[in-house]
Amino acid sequence: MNIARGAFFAHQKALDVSAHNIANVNTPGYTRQTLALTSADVTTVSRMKLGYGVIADSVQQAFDLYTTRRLFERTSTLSGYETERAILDSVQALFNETTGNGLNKVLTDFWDSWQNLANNPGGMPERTDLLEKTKTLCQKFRWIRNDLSRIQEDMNINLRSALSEINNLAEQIAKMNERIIESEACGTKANDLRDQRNNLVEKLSQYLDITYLEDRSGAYTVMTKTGIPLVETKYFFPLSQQGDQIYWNGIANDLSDRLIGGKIGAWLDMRDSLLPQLMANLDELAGKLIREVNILHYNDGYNLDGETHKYFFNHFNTVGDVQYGNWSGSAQAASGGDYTGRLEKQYTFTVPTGTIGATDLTVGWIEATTGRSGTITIPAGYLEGTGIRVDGVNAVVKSGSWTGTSQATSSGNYTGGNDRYTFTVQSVNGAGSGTGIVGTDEIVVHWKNFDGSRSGTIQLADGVPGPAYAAGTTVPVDLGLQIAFSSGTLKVGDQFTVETEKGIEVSFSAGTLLSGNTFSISTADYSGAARSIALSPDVEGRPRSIAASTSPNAAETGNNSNALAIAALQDIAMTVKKWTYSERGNSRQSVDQTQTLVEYYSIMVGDVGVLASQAADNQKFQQTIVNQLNELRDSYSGVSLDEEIINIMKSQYAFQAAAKLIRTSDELFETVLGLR
Amino acid sequence: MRIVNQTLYRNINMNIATITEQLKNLNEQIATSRRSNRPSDDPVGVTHALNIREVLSQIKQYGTNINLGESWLRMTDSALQRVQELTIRVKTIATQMSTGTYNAGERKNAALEVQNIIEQLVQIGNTKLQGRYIFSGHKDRTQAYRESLTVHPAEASPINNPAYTGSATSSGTYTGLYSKKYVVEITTGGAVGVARYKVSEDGGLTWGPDDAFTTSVAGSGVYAGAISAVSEGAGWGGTSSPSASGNEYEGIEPAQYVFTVPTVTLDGANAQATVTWVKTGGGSGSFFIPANYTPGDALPVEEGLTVSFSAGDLVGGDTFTVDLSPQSREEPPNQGVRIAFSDAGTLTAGDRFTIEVSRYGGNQDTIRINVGQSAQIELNISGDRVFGSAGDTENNFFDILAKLKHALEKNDQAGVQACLENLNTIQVRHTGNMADIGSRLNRLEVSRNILSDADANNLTRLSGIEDLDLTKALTELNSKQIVFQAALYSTMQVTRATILDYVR
Repeated sequence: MNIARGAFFAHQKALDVSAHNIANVNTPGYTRQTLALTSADVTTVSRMKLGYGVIADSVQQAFDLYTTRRLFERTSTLSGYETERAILDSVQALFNETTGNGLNKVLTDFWDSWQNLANNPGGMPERTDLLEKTKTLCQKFRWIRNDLSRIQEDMNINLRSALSEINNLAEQIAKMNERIIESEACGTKANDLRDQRNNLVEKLSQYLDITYLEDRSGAYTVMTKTGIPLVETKYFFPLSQQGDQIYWNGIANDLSDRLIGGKIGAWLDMRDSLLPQLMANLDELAGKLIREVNILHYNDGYNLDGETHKYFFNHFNTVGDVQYGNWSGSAQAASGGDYTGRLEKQYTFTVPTGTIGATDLTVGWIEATTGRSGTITIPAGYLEGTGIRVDGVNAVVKSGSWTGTSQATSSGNYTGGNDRYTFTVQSVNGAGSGTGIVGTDEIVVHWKNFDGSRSGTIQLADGVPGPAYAAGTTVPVDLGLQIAFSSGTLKVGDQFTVETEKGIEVSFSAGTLLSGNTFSISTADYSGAARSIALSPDVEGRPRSIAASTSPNAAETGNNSNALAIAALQDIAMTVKKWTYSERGNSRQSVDQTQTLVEYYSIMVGDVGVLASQAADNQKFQQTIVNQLNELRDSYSGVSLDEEIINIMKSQYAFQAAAKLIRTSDELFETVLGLR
Repeated sequence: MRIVNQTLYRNINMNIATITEQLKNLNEQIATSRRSNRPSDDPVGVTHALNIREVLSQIKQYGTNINLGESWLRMTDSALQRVQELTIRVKTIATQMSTGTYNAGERKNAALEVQNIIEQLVQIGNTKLQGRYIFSGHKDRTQAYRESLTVHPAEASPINNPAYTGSATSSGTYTGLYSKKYVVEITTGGAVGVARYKVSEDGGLTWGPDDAFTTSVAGSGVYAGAISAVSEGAGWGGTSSPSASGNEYEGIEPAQYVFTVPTVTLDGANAQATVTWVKTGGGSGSFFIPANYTPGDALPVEEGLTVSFSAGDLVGGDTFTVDLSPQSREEPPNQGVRIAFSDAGTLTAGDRFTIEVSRYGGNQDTIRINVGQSAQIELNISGDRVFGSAGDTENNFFDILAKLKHALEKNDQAGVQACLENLNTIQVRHTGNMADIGSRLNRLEVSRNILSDADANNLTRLSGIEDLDLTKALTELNSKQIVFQAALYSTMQVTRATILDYVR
């Protein structure tokens, strides 16, 4: 009878467990439970060992620790790729050229417009069309650039909500830990609570690469793969966002670089590497375009009114920030000025030992593109922050008719604007003809600037009565421009020009300099160019001001030489930097690439496409792995309805049999009791 | 492996989603009839496609350029043909007229025809294409042979009069509307100033009244303004005295300038001051005495007039005046054209000086356009190359024609003969020019062919990268649909099979 009762209850419990399993057949993360049945202790009756029936020992989970752990890892990777793919899809939509309305199209239209202008340089429709096409081009640049930074900002918004979700999950896990410790104190497993907790951990792993360990009390310690603890028993540590930074537990120290994997990792990668990289490359493209077009338009071109020195694109200051080499002095250098020259220059400065303003300090500079070098002086009593002009002079260009053997070189720190100085050998020993020897004969060289507003002469003395000109000595000309002649001959009428340009400035803060320390300044810093590219006020709404001509004669309306030169830029391979940002933007490297602007852009689009298609492939691959892991886990932990029904039938029959046993026992009793 | 319900349903979901995605991609490809619809569909292809599209767009642009070049050069070609025809006609006339069988009347008639040809040539010279003068060089908005430009130099000396050794120069700015040829003919011989003349505005057809040189001053005819007096105003208190100079005063009426001086000592660095002036008949202004003014230095007031001061003081408010009067003048033939004669030798009746007022307004610069990558073609041929440059009397077609017409009018057989030589040279030049234009047209044709080949090639490449093989795609779509249906069917079957059907 007792055995029957035990069996009765045990199978009733088994039915309960099956019912629970069936009820949770679709519950995510639910782990199949089974009732562990064991036979009761054996008693010995008349030397025979008789069983005491069945005992429902415990409810056990079919939990696969290994698969679950791997599943969490893969979930994190998968959701990382999913996120990456989603972002790249929206990024590549910006570069979608397949419909033919992208930047490539408007850029090509822009060049075509220049050719149309070259076909009819005096035509107002062509000029107006060029301005309109340029506006569209600028707009397109700005749109793409703005959309990229908007996507970048979206990352921060996503991060904010994701962090609060992470905190929420961490808090719940901590609570679960607490409840599990409580309910398992008596030794039984809190199966359903554990399922729920695993569910939370799985959700958490979508956001981050995490790892967890279970302690003896059954509590999870959850931390990121990089070791930042998120949950410890009943405590959790919130993450918070401050601008671009992420703080742990309210401690003001950015650890965003240590958050990897999952959605957060993907967002941070995109925010700090890919998006800034794309923007930097777009800036290079826009900056190069502005520079190349403006150089021709500003320096060589004349508009319909015979005016020159007009910008086509809004002038963009390309003087970059100071990049320190080795630097141990306490004074800081700063770059300034507004470089407007033709060349992309790179100045490297080497400082002496000294205190700023205490004595005259001579700082040497060398320029990489032209190989020119010179010095600037920080004078005694220097007021910190005062700009000191550097260079601003380009190399000497001799005219074709040059017959002398002496070479002229230009130097100095020119303080004027963009100009062109023409030097003509005027007289030798007072005569307006003939050839003179530098340092032996008295040679007068006449100079004037481009518009003739400044002019003068320099004299190379013959040594009678004063000292003779020593070959190589610099002679001041104008506004800091200096000229030196090597030994040799000069002939009256020989001519050379020096192009001057508005050069960079450097300034220093108070403090000390240490000998041999260097810093450098580039004049080809295009960051932000794509954001601000626009028509210059010189030509905006003034089609006549487009400089299609190379002649100051306003009547030469058919002169299309400058328009042709600008249109030819389309096919000129130029050196453009291609940036690669890695390690969340902590490593930025650029490679010089020589190609046309359109090629540069095409490759950029191709790169985005490669990334997007890689992300899609990776996502698919990870999805397959996650599916397999899910299958694996399900095959062990999942609930099969058929199985449960069979279990129910099994329990039902056992239950029925137990009932039958009771009835049989009862009948036995009755039989016994009915004995008379 | 144990398969449970969740696995089953998850897999069904996943598989259906995969097939649906493939169907969606196929549908997109078919709908757009493109293989790749975003950079990630074919990243390498996209890079190529972008470059090819740029090339295609360029080719299209070169096509536009070539069209322009062709219409320009064809127009030039037909203009040159007309010129050539007219040259031949002129040569015929000249050849006929250089023989002795024609009389003065017939030569006069021939001269009329030459005048007519000159006018036609000017018209041809002003051929326009879309508002641009094709013979004006870089000055394509400037009429190539315009009547209202600077006056062509007068024939320097009269033909056949060795007695006059001076020369005539023309100046002024023509203000008339039509191309004209002024002829000044001496009616009464004598020295400059004694001789009388008459003027024709139409190359000698009709003549104006007989007139006399108004003055015998050599170089007369230039409006040379003379400064008759510098007078200090009443109460001039300064120790410095002003003087005036200049000789290019262009007014016809006498004029008087009244200057008002400030207080200043003209002896050093601080001698900076502004002098204001008012002119009778309108006009006023000021000029500046700079620092370190050297007494006696001329300070410009207006074109043709300068003022200087001797050392000393000026007293504020003092005035002085300068009177100007036209010194001598010659009535111009008309409409802004002036002629001046230098006084050397004697003029005889019948001497003629001609002034051509049609003159080349363009320049020699060539307009180039792109007709392919780094392939350019010269669009234009300058008027000077067609008609000869101004002043080059041996080669300038207009000059030769004027000379011919003159000779015909004067019934000068030898003169006509001389022109014939020049006409031969001109004809050779025309032939050369036409050959040049022809070869340029040829080059354009070649360029066009190259471009159309390149266009076709690139289109094929682009199509290979971007376009969809529709048959293949549709077949694929069909098979995908069957797979999809089969999947749905099998899903239905699998999910229906449950033990529940067999237990009661």
